[in-house]
Amino acid sequence: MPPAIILNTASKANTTGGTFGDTLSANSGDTLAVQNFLSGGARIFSMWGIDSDSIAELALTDTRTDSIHDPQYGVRFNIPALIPGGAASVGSHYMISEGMTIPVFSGDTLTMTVTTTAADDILVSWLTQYDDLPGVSGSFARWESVQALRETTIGIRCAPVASATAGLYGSARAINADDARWTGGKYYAILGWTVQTVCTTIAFSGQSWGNNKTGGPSGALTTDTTMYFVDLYKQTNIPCIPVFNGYDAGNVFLYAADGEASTSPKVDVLAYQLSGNPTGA
Amino acid sequence: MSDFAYDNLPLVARFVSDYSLEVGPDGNKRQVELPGFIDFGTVIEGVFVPLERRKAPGLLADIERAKAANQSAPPPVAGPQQSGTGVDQPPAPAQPAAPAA
Repeated sequence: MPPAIILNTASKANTTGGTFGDTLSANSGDTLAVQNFLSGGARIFSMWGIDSDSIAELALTDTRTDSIHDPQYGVRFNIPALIPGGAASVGSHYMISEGMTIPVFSGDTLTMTVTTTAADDILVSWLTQYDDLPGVSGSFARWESVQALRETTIGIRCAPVASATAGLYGSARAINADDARWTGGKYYAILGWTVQTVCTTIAFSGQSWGNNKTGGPSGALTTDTTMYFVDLYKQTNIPCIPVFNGYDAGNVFLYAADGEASTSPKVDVLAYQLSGNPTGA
Repeated sequence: MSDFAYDNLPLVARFVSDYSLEVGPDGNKRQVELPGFIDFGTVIEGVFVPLERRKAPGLLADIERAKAANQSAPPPVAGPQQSGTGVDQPPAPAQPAAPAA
């Protein structure tokens, strides 16, 4: 059975403000619930977010004490949203990265409450790693396989726009909508991306990947995303480099979500064109 | 002589437009304007030097909120000048309306 890495995002626009006075809701298509699984474990191993205007604090809780110690505040994270550069110019801050993990349990549900200033917009994205998630056999490859099959390198423009409601995903943007140089019949491994404008979260989804989202941050401190998925593989050692066939480019989508409304990060997707399918499927 | 090559520089802000190409109902791509950015900076001998770029939507929303708050607040009552003692004089009580003839 396959391992999986799934991206989810929760947000709230125009917060009430006050000490843990607001609760985030999952963005469309995403969930605060932990997927059901039968064997292995699952853990949140990466989390990032931003407040649009002010410093903020997140309390991450669920129902299992082995996960978050206690349900009062659970694990608290600061979001120093004004550093560096001031409000609306930072994009994202990591809360979990590089080794720290929070175990989560099958069927549980996360709760995210936040301390903000009134009228702020806030969003949090996180990656959950499942050792064995039934029913989502996505096309994800290991870096060694991708390197062995490389034919050429390509950078493709795709320009998703974040929602007019801060924090939410904007419309899905097909990966061939702005630059259609993908070749039908060829396999492509997405290594990472670059952006023109910082953005809290860049997400990818498609039938090739079980219709789950994957992706990462593109904030001022995290814009080094040219090899994002390769770095993710090296961090987790599970196949997580997204692969798709050029014929399927119209069914591969990008999304942007940001602490500001209508952000257009203008993504350049970096990929290897491959001589075969690195997943062996 | 001043240590500064330039002083008394202005702090200015300018809008920077942004757009997205979206497919219209006729299937053709059309340019859709986005809120864009506000670049804060200064001007040195006619050259705009950007110091910070801020995404415009949040700031524009804050400005609208501030305008609405100012409009809903009661107009300030004009009081006397500062007395110089650090304590403001209370505003003069409103004169009672003259009785109707």
